Amino acid sequence: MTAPESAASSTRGRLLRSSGAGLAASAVLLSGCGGKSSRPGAPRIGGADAARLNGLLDLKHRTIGAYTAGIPLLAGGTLSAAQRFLGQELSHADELSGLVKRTGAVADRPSDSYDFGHPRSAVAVLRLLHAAETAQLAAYIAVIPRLVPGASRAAAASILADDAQHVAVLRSALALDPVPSAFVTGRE
Amino acid sequence: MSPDTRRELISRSILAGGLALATSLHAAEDAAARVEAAVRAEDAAGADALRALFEVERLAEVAYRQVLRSGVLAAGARRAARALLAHEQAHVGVLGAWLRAAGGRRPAPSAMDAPAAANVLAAHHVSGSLQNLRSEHEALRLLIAVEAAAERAYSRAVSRLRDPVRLGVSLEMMACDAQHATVLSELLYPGDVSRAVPGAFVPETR
Repeated sequence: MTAPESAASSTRGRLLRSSGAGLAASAVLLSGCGGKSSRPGAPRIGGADAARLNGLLDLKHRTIGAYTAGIPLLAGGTLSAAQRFLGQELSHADELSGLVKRTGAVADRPSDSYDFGHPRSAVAVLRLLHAAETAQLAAYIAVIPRLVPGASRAAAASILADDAQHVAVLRSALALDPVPSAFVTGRE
Repeated sequence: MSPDTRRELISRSILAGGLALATSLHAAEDAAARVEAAVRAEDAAGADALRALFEVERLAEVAYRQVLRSGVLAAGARRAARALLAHEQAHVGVLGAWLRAAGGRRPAPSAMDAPAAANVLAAHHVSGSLQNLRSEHEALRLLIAVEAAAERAYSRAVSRLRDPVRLGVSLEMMACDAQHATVLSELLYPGDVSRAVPGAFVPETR
């Protein structure tokens, strides 16, 4: 199962057409996704952070691809949750792109495609999404301490915390303990 | 699925994580040992951030204890709250160790009594009282508000701390407290993911 980037917009378009009003919130966020810089007047970020932030952005693009590709296999409450999380992931990508641009660098674009294997059930999709989200958590925890200035760390941390909430919901959907550890590392 | 069934499933899944909970307590000891072994001098802003984190996590610990003591929680919510309390205690342990390593004095565990907790609630703009809780709904809403205060404190701390080890562990605790809010919201509003994960950024600052 792949999520061709070339059709990032057409894939999202198909998603919007097939899923109707339930994606209204996502539609608003999709229209806002353009990598524009956030918070005008914010301090310039050092160039050394560009690669780190682009690394987080690459993972974010991959996660967006996973949600986009997996949502058609979901239904009910998990579908609603995944749709909501996709919209939030798009907002994260927008924010990360803005942070990259403040370094003076170019924000990475999504890959043309991603290999997610062949999940054929809702449970398999949930496991895929859980793996994608926890990979993000681990990456954020490793990278954020190295970001300068502090405002960048706080911005990235706010994304980390939201992704952690995604993980909690996905774990519940998989009948797992939603918060198994006092220290969330992404390896739970 | 009825709200009660969903609540039971949530609490059972948390209970099933008992072994993971014990593991997390060992992880807390490891984390505290790592930080103590790598004593770093934070600047004034960082030291203040550590004290603020300790205060809000102590508040969370006191809040969970008080809520459990109040008797307003049903069985499922009570089991969940006990598990989350254990996490808060682990956070307090690590933060206390950091304060000692940074040369600060760690307040005694019993130092935050009800009046002190009320002051801290007010200082963090959390409305409500830990005294005379009248319903599970009120208790869960208060705990969610306390977790939100913790998120705001972590957000400020992450921008001010300098030591990468403390930053990393702070992020792990911040992520955990964000998950706490989600679990509590699911207990309060079963099946409503818009409440469980209300925004794209935690804390919501945009």
